[in-house]
Amino acid sequence: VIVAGVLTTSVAAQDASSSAVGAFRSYSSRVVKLEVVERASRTKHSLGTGFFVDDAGRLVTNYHVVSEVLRKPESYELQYVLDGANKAAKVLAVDVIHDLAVVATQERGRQGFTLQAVDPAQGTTLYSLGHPHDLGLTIVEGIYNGLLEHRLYEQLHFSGAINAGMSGGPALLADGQVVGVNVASMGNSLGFLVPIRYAVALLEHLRVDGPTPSKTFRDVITAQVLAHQRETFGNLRSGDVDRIRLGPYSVPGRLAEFLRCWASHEERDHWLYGVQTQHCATEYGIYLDEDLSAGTLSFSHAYYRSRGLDALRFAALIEHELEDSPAGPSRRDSQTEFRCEESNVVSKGPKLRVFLCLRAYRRYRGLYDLVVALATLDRGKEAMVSMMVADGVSHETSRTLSRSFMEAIEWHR
Amino acid sequence: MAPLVFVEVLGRHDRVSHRQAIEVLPCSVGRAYDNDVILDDPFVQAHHACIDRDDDGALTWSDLVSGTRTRIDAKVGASCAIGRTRVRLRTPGFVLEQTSVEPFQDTRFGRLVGSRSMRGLGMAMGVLCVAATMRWDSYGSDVSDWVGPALVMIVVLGLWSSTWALAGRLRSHHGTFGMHFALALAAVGPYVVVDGFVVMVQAIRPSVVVYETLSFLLPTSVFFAEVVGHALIIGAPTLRRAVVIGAGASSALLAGVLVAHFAFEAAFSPGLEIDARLVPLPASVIVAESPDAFLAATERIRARLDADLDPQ
Repeated sequence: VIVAGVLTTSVAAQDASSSAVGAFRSYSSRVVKLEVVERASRTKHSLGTGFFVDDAGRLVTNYHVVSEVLRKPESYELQYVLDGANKAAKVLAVDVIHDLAVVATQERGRQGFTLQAVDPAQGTTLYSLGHPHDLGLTIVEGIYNGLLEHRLYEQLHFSGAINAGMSGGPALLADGQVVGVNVASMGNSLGFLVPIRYAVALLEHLRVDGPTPSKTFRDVITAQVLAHQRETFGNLRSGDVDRIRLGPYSVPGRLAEFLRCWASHEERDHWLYGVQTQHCATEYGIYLDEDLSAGTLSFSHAYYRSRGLDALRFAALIEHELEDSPAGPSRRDSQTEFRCEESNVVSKGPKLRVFLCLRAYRRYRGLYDLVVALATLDRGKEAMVSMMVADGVSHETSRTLSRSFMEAIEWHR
Repeated sequence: MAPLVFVEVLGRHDRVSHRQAIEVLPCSVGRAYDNDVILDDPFVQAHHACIDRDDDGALTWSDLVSGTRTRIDAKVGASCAIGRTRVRLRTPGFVLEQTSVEPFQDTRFGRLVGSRSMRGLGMAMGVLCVAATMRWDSYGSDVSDWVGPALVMIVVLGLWSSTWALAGRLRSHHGTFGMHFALALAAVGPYVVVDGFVVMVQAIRPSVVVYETLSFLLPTSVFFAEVVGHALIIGAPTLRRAVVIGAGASSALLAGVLVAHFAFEAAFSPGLEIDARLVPLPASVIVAESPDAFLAATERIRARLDADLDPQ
């Protein structure tokens, strides 16, 4: 039985490898390396992969592969490498939400992949092509595992080794149909792909509207982020979701499908108080550039209960906890410093001490980081300290989020 | 030969910096070394004055520069100015009055703290403050949780005392220093008592929450306020405005005392404004606005951020 098993495995491995050989032989010429080159030193800054999608020489790749060229066109230029030669390329259009870009090359008449939306069965073998760590064109075999859940935007789960440098490369079926675009990895063969239908939509958009003028890319990116935000954050409804009890307070649980929540409870013997926390966050944001991302949302609720502290000491503890900012330091080139306002606020629930802070993005006008920190003021020896951080949101969204956050805390007498 | 008169050269606060017995009259006073009394004062003439007796036997002071002649009552110890120096004449029969006040021994913390009772009171306050800080500034029952705040408190006490001593020295004005110290004690004493009372009230009425925008809750902060406040006022002559921020019943008292204290300072520092901001406290009386009203703040923030983005 053992021998038979080994034989079966080796035959299957042979089949797989022969498919990989076939796929590489047939489609490797449609995949190129993309390099972002520093203009002064003529040396590459970063690299990725792209693949031809028509005979006009247009490539599809990831937005994050070309983002530095759009951010600092005076310092960087985009090149593709074909047959050992570097040639200039130009970004025509981007879809920053799904991390896609279309790039023009001089390779007219070259055969490309024909893109159409496909929906393979879970378990289907896929082949991912790309340039991992600049080691040359590589083919990786993996399994298609369907659409990922709990994401801010759609991504496919690919169980195969995607590595840095393969970003923007195609993941295809043995017959050459492209299923997705390599975009990210969590290591241990946990890879993520952008569904190819978004690339199809971007090409269609490009056909109808024409290329985006280079000077307006920032505005286009900002507009895409804002439109996506209206869709995702506009639908947050704290009333519709299950509520979680934390002491005498009640807070909404998972506000949206794209949030992941975790909880903890700490009450050490030598502490004169106990704290129970619930923390929810998006796993990935929308990549804007090396410094910034947008669309990430996280919030936490910590319920403090005194086990021996009097009201004064307890108030001092809560004040201390409220002073800890959950947001990282500002990147001066990309953001302003935080500007804050504070007040006592009352809505349906208990009276709250609220701090509201915003910092603006310098390059993407109209996007802000938001921090809301609040503490309940109704009890002497129990309090809820809640924090919310949202990255890259509009002014309107920051108001909507702040309002729902302030109104989210209810109490049971 | 017995001295006829004593010439005393006076320093700051009329203390005698030099005393010379005169056995022969007339006696000349001036900058030149052929005088009987030589003064190290560039504003004094080479031969400036002459001390003598008149026909009645009274002492006279003749100013050789102005040509005036004055009779001196040496028993009263009258003094006269010469250049930038003050000179006093005394007769040998003069006796300094005795005082019942013991001379202070420890000058490091000034005259007032030098007295035994004040030192005792100061130490008691210090111990009380350390104990209060240990109790209020830590959130655990572990001894290690208390060591940090207690050390900080001790350092603060040291800083506070030395700042006071320095301030007193700088001003060389013992009355002012004593008043300062009395005011500081007045600030801390009732504060500790009232805070204890507030704790008791809150134990009975747990719905009352003391909430502070700055940690003026703790005795430590009183000392910090004292030290920083005085350092600013003494060290920054251009300071125009001192703001005391606090909230709550206890802080109201503290802020009130501090305001009174700084107002006292302001009397010595013309142009200084004192501004106290208090937030009313128990939850039932906390002034709270609606979320909509508060969210108008985002407009103000946005305006400030726009200014940050496009500085004009």
